[in-house]
Amino acid sequence: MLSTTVILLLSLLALSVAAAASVGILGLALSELFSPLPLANAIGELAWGTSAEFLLVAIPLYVLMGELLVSSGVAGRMYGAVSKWVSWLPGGLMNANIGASALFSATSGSSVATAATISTLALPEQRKAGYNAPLFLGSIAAGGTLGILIPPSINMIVFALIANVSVPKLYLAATLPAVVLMSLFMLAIIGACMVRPGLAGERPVVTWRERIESLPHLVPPLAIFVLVIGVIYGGIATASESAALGVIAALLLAWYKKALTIATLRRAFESTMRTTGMIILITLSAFFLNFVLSSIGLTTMLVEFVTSMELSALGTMLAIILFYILLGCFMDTLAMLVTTAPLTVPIVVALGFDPIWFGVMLILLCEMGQLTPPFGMNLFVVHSIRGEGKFIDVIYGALPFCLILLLMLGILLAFPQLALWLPLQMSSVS
Amino acid sequence: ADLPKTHFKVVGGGSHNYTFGAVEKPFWETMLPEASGGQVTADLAGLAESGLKGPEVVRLMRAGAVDIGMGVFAYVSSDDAMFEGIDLPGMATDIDTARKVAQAYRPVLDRRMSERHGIKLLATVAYTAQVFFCREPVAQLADLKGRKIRTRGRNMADYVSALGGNPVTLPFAEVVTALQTGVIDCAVTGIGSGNAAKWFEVANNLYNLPIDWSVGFYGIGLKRWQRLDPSVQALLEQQSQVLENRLWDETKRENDFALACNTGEGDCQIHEKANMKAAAPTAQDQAVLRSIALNIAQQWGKRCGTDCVREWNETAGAAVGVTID
Amino acid sequence: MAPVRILGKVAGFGIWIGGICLLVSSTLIVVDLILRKFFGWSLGGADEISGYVLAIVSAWAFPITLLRRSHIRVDVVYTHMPRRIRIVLDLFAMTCMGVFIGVLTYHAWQVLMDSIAFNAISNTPLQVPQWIPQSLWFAGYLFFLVTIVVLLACSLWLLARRRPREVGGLIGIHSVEEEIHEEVHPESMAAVSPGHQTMQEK
Ligand code: NA
Ligand code: NA
Repeated sequence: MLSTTVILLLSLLALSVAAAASVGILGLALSELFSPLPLANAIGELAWGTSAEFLLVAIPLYVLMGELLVSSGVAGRMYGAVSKWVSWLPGGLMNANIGASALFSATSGSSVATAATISTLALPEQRKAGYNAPLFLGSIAAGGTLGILIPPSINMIVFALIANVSVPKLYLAATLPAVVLMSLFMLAIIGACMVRPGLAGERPVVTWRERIESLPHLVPPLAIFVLVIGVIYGGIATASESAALGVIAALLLAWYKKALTIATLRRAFESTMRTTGMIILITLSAFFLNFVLSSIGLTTMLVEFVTSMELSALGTMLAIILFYILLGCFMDTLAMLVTTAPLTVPIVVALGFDPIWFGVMLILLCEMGQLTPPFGMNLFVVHSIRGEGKFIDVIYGALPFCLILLLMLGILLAFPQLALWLPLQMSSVS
Repeated sequence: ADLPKTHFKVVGGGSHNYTFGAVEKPFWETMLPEASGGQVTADLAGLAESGLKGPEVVRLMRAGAVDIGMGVFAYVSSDDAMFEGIDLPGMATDIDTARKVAQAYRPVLDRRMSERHGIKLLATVAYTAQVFFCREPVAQLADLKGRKIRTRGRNMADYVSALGGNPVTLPFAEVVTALQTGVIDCAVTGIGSGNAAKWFEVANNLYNLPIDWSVGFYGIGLKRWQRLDPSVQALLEQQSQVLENRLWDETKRENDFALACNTGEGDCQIHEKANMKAAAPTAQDQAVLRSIALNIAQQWGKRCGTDCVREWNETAGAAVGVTID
Repeated sequence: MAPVRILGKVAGFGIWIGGICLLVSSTLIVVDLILRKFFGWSLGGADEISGYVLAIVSAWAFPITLLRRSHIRVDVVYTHMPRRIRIVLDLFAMTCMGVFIGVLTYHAWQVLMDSIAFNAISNTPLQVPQWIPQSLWFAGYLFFLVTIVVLLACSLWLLARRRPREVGGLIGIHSVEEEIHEEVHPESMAAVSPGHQTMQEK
């Protein structure tokens, strides 16, 4: 049963059938093969129930918010301001890439949007200032992956729904790892450029006056972040409600910046519909597959099989991590998350790990998947916005950051408290 | 003669609930097979593990995608207001009364489910008293005024509104965080299940006013039922009664200990000792509650129709001495 | 091609309606939030309505995603294949999507019929008759299915007319270059998007 499932899924995916259809067809086929019950009859109710889920409302709203912010020119001014503050460090603008990505991530739910936005802003600078191309490209691709680790995050919303955990807790759990990862990224750049100064281009000369004057440009993105994330912990709104607040705030901001035209709106709506259709279809087909797998007993079988192997919990976790690293090479990371989490979460919980902690691990693995060839979405984004040079440059440039992600996974494995401490603080407050 | 070999895929209640492990699991996986000489077997999955949310169970059983399923009447009542009659808010102030009402109303639902919904009712089920877990102390009924309270179902929301509270709907997974941050002030759940879910860590005040009992049912799709061998039907019917009795008895035991566990005072078995501050409605409050309960029953009667009201009065109403016009 | 242009027109209309619906439900949620926080009372049901909006908007978003060729497809094998094989893979992938969505649409119809037969009403203070949101939701699925069938038929027609190059533009994997281009210069999408073409022709 297990081998049929795996082979069928991989074949459909390899034959380039859309991930959502692959998952759905797999569910229908497994139901025909292994179930005495007509499980397909559940698909309508599941589709209605899943797509009307209030938690998922956050997804189109995050996309819409990000689109409105980009079109109001907030992102461009923010990059300029960040670079004025951090580009004196060894590594110069590459630090700005990481910093600006982190800041933009705080207003965007996706990594692709983050990488695309920062690429368009940063790449012209690279040519002007003569940076080592691979590392510079890598810093953008890697910085972009922070998009799903720093809240708000579409991937975390989807994981929370699958694993039945609280979104605010997950957001809180990701916060410290995000800070550590961002620092590691910057430290790596600074370290590399201190050892080999040739990697960095000329650092822009910035006066303190310019720095101070650039500060106001940091206000809009920070304000949006505080609004969207702050209201959750301030006891004002749930995650979905805060996304609605973000949309309205971004809309007002765009209007204030006189960027709210029919064309901007149309562009934002189009992108929102496209992304929403993609995410919701794959999510609801995954929910159907989940129902089928549970009904034919595969989920239980797999959990019993893994626990019966009597591997240590650590050994199993390492195997799971390896599995995700390999899968991440070939698959879109959201598709990977949605199709596998229904199976891995029960195993991980049965082994005694915290599902919130595992959620953060999975997000880190998704980030890695976005940076590994042959299918690494952020690599593609950076490469094609660059529009010149070799693709292999981007891969080389991202490699050190993949190693840092591995290190980060190790740190989180050794110190789960890094993720679990903040959520725990929240419970002891009241 | 031996029974024909039969296997059931059962979707039970929430696997985090006490009775799931204490009653449902042993019943389906051990007792039923033993009672049938090993001929009738079943495997049981929890609702959430099956990727289901609750309201769809009746439809899935009718469509055959689930063999035997468990549902809570308040969740599935979108398709039929009549379901709610078994557990109207404020109608049963203790679990024995709730059981009396359920038993009286059961034949009505049994017929309704098979005639209209294509489901054979097997057993009724109850959970512990649905009470308020709050961040701030509630000393008296009036203290609930203006508080944001997480409820489920229209009737419960109406009841909470009548008490002066603001009913809020929220997914179960979000309740703990929402209580922590103060997005909501109180949440209603079983006095036992709230303990099992450790709600006392985030909401240290219990207002012991049983709104309802989350009464639910085990059922089987009628088509599936009709295809069963008569000997299996007879066995299933007889064993379902055993299941029903055990579920109610065990829930009563859970309910009786739950207050002691939550407050940490007195005899605590089954659940974990906490130190919540508890209060209950006063005699004066009781009179107010009674009139609210009647009022909501009347409103429900209007939605449900005259035939429905007549049947309710003759059965459930008679059991508690209430008549709706 | 005319049928694809018509689909694009409907989809382009859907983009506006969908976007506006999302803005309206955001506004509703925010108003409810403000009333709840500062005035202690609630409109009630903003969450329920947004849930319906999401279900309906996403059902109508599926065909838009498909017309933009943005449903995720793994191209590890695909990119290394000659054009002929790619076309076969494209047709196969679209057929699989058609089968899946066919089943889904049929069962969505069953859900709607059940809600009508049982006069299903949401079990919340809003008491929304479920057939209202569900029929808009079902219509989205139906349009999605029609889109798939039309795209398949047009591809076959193009093949019969010996114009295989154009099939890729209709149902092929959206190359990453195209996708990024759209992400960065959405305004230029007019050139490739059927939705935009028709808007300009008007
Ligand atoms: Na983010
Ligand atoms: Na990858």
